[in-house]
Amino acid sequence: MQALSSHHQAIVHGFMELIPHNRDIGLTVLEFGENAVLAQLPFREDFLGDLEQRLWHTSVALSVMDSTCALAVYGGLGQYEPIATLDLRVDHLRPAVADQPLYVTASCYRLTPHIAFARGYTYQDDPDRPTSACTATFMRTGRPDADHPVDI
Amino acid sequence: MTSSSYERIRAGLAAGDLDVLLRENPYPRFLGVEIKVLGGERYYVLPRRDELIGSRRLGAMHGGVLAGFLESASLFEVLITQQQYHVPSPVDFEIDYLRSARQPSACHVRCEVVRQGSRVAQVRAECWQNDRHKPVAASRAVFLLRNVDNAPAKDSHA
Repeated sequence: MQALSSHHQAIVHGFMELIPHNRDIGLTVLEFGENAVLAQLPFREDFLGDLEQRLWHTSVALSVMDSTCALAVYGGLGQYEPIATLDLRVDHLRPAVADQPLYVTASCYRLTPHIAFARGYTYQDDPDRPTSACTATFMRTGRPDADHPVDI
Repeated sequence: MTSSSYERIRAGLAAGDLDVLLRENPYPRFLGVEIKVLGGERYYVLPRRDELIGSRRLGAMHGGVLAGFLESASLFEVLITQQQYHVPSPVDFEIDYLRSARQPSACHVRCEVVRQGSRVAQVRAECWQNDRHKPVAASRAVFLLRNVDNAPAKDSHA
């Protein structure tokens, strides 16, 4: 994984500008390159699900996975291009505990003229102990003959 | 007097107070999820807000937020419909995006607990905006049901 080049910085800037929700929750991109993205979401009390055990709500992971996988696709494309999420699957591997940030890593592992496949993980203190794993599929809607309407 | 979150949820639901779920679940409350009962049917509603926009170009709802809304609603549905109180622990979740969720309309979700066993509940959910017959997304979720008295380890689903 590489640090942000000026070219990739421009993509990240556009990405944050285009997606108000990411800025609202405080998602920040730490590393971004052609092959992978690393982002961080600081803990907030608003992100809790289980108050009894003080665990992150699993639904927060869904939100940051979608965004981070999309950014990984832009990294794979090397530019911003309209894409639409077709589907997203997340396995909740272990709970994420309160008062620690959530790290999100994603990569685009297959790019075709019409479809982009991405996968990602969330973790807290140890990347080898992910709290969730995700796969997401995107349609490249900017292509002349694309017809799926759910673009971002 | 102190009571645990699980106990407050159990007592609230037993008294027919569905909003106890929002009081005890910060993230769905942060998103602005509402629980409504209309004509004997239960709906989950996510009103439009600028902060939930995922595409400034289209003014569309953030796809990840939509996923979180459907998962949160599915978990609530398990808590509301189960006969005996268990804590549902999310195992996995999958969503298909069918149409763009254009703002400014609110999103509505209806859930169906397809199967509720003693250890696992499986839930399907569908989300629409103005026309129930034109869903914007459909999801399925699996929850492990844990006994409240049997405090789970923090690092596992067991």
